[in-house]
Amino acid sequence: MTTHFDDEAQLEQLQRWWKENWQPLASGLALGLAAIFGWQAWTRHQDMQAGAASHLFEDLRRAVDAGKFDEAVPMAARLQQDFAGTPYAVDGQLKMAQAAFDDGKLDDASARLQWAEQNAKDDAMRSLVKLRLARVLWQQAKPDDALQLLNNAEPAYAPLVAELRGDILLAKGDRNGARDAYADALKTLAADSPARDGLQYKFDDLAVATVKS
Amino acid sequence: MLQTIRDRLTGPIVWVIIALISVPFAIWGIQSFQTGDNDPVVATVGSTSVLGLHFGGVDITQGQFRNEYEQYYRRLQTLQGENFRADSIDPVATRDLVLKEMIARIVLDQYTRKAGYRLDDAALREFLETIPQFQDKGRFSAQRYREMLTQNAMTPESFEAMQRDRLPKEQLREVVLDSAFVSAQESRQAWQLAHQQRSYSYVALPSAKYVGAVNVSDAQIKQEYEQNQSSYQAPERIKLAYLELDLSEFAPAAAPSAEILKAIYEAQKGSAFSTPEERRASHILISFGADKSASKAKAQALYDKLQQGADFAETARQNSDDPGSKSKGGDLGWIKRGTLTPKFEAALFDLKPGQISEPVETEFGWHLIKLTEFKPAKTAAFEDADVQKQLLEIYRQKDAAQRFTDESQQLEQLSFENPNSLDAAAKALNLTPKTTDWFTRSGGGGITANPAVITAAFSREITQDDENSKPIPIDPTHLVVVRKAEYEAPHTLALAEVSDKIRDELKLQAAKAKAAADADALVAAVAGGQSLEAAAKAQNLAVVTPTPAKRDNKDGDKVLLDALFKMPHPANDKPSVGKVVLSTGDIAVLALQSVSDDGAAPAPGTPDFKRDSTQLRDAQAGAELQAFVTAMEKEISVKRKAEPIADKAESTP
Repeated sequence: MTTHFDDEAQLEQLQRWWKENWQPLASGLALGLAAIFGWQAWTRHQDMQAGAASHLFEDLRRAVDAGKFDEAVPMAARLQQDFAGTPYAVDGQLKMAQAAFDDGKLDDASARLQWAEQNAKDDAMRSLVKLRLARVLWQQAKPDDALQLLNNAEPAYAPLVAELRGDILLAKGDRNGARDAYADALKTLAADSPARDGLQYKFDDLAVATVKS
Repeated sequence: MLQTIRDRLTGPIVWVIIALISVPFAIWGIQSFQTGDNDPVVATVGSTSVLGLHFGGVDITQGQFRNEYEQYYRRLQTLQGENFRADSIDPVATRDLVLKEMIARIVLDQYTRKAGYRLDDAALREFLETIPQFQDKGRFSAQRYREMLTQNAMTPESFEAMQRDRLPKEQLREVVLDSAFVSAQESRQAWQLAHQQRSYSYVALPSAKYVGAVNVSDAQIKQEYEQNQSSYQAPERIKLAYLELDLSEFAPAAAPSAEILKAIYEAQKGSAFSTPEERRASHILISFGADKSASKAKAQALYDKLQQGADFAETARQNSDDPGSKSKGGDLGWIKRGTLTPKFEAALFDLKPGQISEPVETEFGWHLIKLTEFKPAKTAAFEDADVQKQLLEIYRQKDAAQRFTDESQQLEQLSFENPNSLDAAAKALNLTPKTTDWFTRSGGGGITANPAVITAAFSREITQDDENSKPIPIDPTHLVVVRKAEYEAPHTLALAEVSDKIRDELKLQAAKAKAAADADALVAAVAGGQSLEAAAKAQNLAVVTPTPAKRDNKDGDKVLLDALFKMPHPANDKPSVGKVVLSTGDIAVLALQSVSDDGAAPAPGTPDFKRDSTQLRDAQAGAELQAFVTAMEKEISVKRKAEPIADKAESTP
């Protein structure tokens, strides 16, 4: 039971407590508000950075697709320097690497993909870069480096990695190793994948006689 | 406890606590407090973990799942049309598929945002400017943009927010797809494999040839029969005795007296034997236009002119606003009561032939109506020969229907009161009992094709209790009562009944075994160095050497072709050899002589090669994207919280 006297005492206590503590309370509130607005300003800044990088990347892609590779070079460099915090720095290198590869500039493609591998922000992207880098290394006549890179791949990339490993082994003359790799790829590939026929052809072409009399 | 907290709420601790409380609001946002409804959560996708607390996940609720499931279900129904069968859908797998798709969509959403894909205003504007629907004379038009959106119930704000959400995801997909590549070496390899040619010969060993040489003893047949009795079962079957009542077979009643026909005539004179009044009308329509009273004045003026003798048809041609009748001088053709708008009709049926109405107002405007011709209502006379014929027909139909009803009732009653025989009903109704052929649950011909008859025939009442059935309608004027004539329960067929069939089966089996043994011998001989020709000749078999095959050969046995392209390459000038069971069931021995990539010399310049290379690159790009999206799911946490339920859609027939 609360009495009138108790209430009064409590009120007094509360007033005293308020007098002693209003300053820290107010500064706490101010700090909280500052945190909220600071956070919002930060995200806005991030959005603007990303938006600008996105735009630059689209310009780069258009330039590359129009065959103006030289114009795209400084754009890719700017993405790397000024927008390394956005995904577009890596994306720009991916696009440049593709154009370089198709143009036979394997060293350029390789260097760009290596940068992308080191700067990729997550495993999903890094594994993609590795897969492509391995393909370039193979074409650079560095099959062992390529195979090395394909070790410990993300499970999601397993069929692609296994098929590429098969291709590289076959080019090295290791038919048994290639067949095993293709078999792995067939095992992990989705049943309805459009890549299935081609992969099956590769595997079948390496068939060996099962029983020999 | 509270007192302790209060005592300590002093100094710096206070503002530390308040700051801590504020932070989640900044990250979390107020929306997290709004999920107070009763829709249970199936899965939560994506979250940021801060000090063991999870923020920012997207919930999939049962309600959302159910909607999505129903949409999927309906899409499937539309897609498959008449072939759609509800029981062909595996509910567990479908639920899983739908939920996975929903999760994948949100994962892509979350990943795109988390990875930092954005769209700035300039890029959004550039995108909007490329959409042809928003262009006027080839250029973006702000007015057209707003119009198009309004038509689709959207505002520029909502549309732009939608695109801001969608385009970064598109961009991410494009980044992966657009930067994929394959080497020229791979394109060449794929082209060579796809166009490879294989030269081969084969020897078919048809089972039919071996059947004659096989003997099967009665002991073997008996053994097979005893071991596999379950395969030699006869299903239950039945023969029915039945009484049939068919209105179409009733003899027509004798002609009744004239009084009866007259009574029918009187009853139906108004409907069956009379034609109602018809009036042929022309009209002139004056639409209300902008000024109703002006249009009335115009109609009145025309009316006055017509009264003074102006030609109605000519006036209609010049002044009527009715495009349908205008060119015909206003003629509307013959009109019965109840077909036109009531005010028009009332005016028309008040006119005398040749008379023109004053302006009549309807919802179409002002009409001037002229009655041009008139057919009074007419009733055919009782004595008329046609009428007599029709009356007799009506009488006979009524009589037959009455007899059918009476006899049906009698049949039902008599066959129920004498459940163990049809005789009483047959006698009373002067019907001849008939008998069907033997039939099984899959039915037979005549009445035994009727599902209701089949169900009744194999019911307990008929097969076990030996009772009459209830009357079973075949159609509304045709019914039957059935009972068992003869019945055979399901049973194992006697050896004598099936021995021929078993003999044939065993012979074929033995023939196949012999063929397989011969095939193995051939394979061994060829593998040992003999040519297929020589080895086949020794067994008196013919070798076939078709033209070299490609994978996409359309003619020839598909099974053979598949086997051929799975054979090892010939080594050391020796053909590689194998056996294959053809689609006919016969065995064949196959010798692969040579594999040639020559016919498929890589032709990097040709359009076909370019097309195939592009296809290969696109397939690689697609596979890479798929792997990327799958790997993405590892970056975004997905928590399944409850089994999704889709009862509503599943019970939809």
